[in-house]
Amino acid sequence: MMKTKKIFTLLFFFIYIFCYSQDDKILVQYKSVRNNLENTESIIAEKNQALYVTDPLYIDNKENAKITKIDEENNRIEVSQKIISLDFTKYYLKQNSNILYYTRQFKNKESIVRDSLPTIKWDLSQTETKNIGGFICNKATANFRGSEIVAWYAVDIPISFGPWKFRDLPGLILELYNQEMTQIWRAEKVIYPYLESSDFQVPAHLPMVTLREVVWEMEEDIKEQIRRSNAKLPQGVRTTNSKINRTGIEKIYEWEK
Amino acid sequence: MKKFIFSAVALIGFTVASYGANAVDVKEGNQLLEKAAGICTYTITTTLTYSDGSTYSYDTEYSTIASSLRHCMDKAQAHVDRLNAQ
Repeated sequence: MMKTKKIFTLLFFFIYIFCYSQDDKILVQYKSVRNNLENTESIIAEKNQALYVTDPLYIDNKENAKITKIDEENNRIEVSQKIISLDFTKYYLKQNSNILYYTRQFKNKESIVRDSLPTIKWDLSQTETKNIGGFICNKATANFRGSEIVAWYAVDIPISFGPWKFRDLPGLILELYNQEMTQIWRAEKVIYPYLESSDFQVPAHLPMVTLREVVWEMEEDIKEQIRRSNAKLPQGVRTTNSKINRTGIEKIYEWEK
Repeated sequence: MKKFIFSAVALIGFTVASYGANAVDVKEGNQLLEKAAGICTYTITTTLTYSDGSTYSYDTEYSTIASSLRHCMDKAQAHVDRLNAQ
């Protein structure tokens, strides 16, 4: 905590220079919470481009996989997955383009996903402000692919990027969440100027797929998973059809409207 | 360029089951003689999170025969454990 404060304070003294050195890079580390899974995600941004990185996440619950939460009152049983494993993912963004590229590892194949982001119509009329790490942040709201979003951006950091796919605000986004608070990003560390070398170039050697193809493939894979599970029912058990729900921020895509 | 090692599994999930049963108490006067078998229904919700931030869930309802609410719950629990082990 002390360390974070120190870094934020340090940044405060650099703001003056920052305004006049917009070619310099900044690194912001966010703590992300997605469906109760905590992870670290970082953005390295310049004025016109950014690289966003999500750390790999590996949780081995082998020891406690048998421990279940039983809620007798609501007739619920909760069982943790034995192994949780998420890949390292890199997102490539450009200031003057709404095309986002990101790396993907699916069934042992690597590819680059091309996502044509919709223009986010931010509502900047909110008057609330909030202090995040010494920065006064303004509030903005928007609807992004079917979810209501709240963002807090620092006007003193004139970089229009933020966590994950969020961008196009008059300052760097330091906090963002959906209305249900199931997906949250909070800046925990800021380093300016960030002097390490960074590769903002999309890897050219990997095959490219569109987000539309990826969504179709993932949802077909889930359907196949359901078919496999239902084919191996315990004796005497019958089943009805399953419905797949998108529970993340992206609920409706442009091609589905 | 730095090489990153990717994990083999791209998705995660956990399962939640809710259950209900209509096992019938067979009584003579106020004395409980036995519990008759009833239809046991339970719903299993599977949640999936992908590396690109997308998350999904699906509910599947199952029905079977159980002799009591406890029996129904045990069956649901066994089913969840079995799915979770896959």
